Amino acid sequence: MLYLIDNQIRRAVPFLLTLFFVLLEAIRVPVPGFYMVTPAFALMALFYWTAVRARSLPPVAVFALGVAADIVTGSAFGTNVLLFLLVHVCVRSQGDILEGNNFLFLWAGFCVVALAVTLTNWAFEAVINGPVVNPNPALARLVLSAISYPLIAAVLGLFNRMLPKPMHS
Amino acid sequence: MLLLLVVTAGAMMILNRADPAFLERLRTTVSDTVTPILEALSKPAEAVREAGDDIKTASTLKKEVESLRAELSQLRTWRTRAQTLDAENRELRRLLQAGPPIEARFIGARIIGDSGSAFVRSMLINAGAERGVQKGFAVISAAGLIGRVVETGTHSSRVLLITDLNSRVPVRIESSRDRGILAGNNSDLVRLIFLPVTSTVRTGDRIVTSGHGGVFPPGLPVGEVSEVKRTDEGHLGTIRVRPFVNWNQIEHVRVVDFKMPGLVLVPGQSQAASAGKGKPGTSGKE
Repeated sequence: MLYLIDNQIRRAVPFLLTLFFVLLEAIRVPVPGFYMVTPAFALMALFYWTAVRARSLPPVAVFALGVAADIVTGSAFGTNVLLFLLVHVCVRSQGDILEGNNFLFLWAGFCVVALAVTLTNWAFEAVINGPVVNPNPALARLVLSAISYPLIAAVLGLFNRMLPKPMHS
Repeated sequence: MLLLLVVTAGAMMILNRADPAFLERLRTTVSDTVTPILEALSKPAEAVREAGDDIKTASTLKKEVESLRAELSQLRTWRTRAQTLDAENRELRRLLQAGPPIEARFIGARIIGDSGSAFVRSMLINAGAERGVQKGFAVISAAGLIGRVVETGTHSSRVLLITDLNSRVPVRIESSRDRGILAGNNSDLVRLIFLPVTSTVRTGDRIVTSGHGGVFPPGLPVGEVSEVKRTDEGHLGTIRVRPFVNWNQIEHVRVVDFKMPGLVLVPGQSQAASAGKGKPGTSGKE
């Protein structure tokens, strides 16, 4: 029985950690201007877990994470949900390539995905709100996210090693 | 399954434009739930900032004390002036038989979350309906206007900042009394639009709320004109305003209930009902 509970908790770790990063993005950090360019922690976690442990984050969980992100950030409903699902689909479709490659390849993959997400989000906002917004803060956020990815991936890697080996997805 | 979820997400985006009540309820319920978590998570960051504040050299503190003494002396002069003007104002109001000035009630709150997005400018505060916060209330800091409440949960509220793309604030230039609209554009400098063509706006002019529309009380300091562009023919072009608020330093805010019915109604609420309640109502999109 205890083994089953332990197993369930372990299986929920990727979801819970990604949820934690969703919340972390909304925390006020006492660094001037940081609120405009907070790195996309949730995106990093989502990319990492989908790449290394795709089955641990099923589409319904990704949907729930997107809803949480929309609520916590105050974004228009559906924006993060759609972006997260698109990331999930894209990364999962490339699972075989990502899984077998080294960290640099994963990092490059994250940079490409983050760029695509930034541009899509920018386009969504332009469609939803009308005028085209200044993309500079979003691009600064993209750069910060790309730089921070190795650190976040290292932290997530520690948790990943504690989890049972994933079944082939 | 995946396709269904993607379609649902798309439908949510479309529904969002209609601002349905159930989505708002979902937002406020979840915000209320995560408020204690966000408060707990923000504690370490706050501790770091406080530690940084504590590590101030003696010379910095000496300079600060001198500056505060000078400011105190200035404020004492202003207080005397304000008391004189207040007495004069009351007397003139009595002579003109004008109604008493609008009284405001203030609700203190702490900022517990940022939007954390490059496309949204909003904040989460730890005061909600249980402390009397309502949608549409103005939110200020010691420096000036911050924004207005757009969502209210039981223990938390979301504040749309004046810099957000969807923010529109009726303002006036303090010296010339020219009216205009302050339009957010997701940057730190907001635009001043719809000024009269004859306006003599200049860099350095103070901008205050005009009170029109009933959402914000009149006279709240908002910012200072930082740039005035004119066309070759001398017509007004782009005017940018730098808000007085230092977004990096604010931690505590005050929610202002100035007991005046808003002209923008909450869906399903009649004008009479709104006026009867004596509270501003807004649909969240002015």
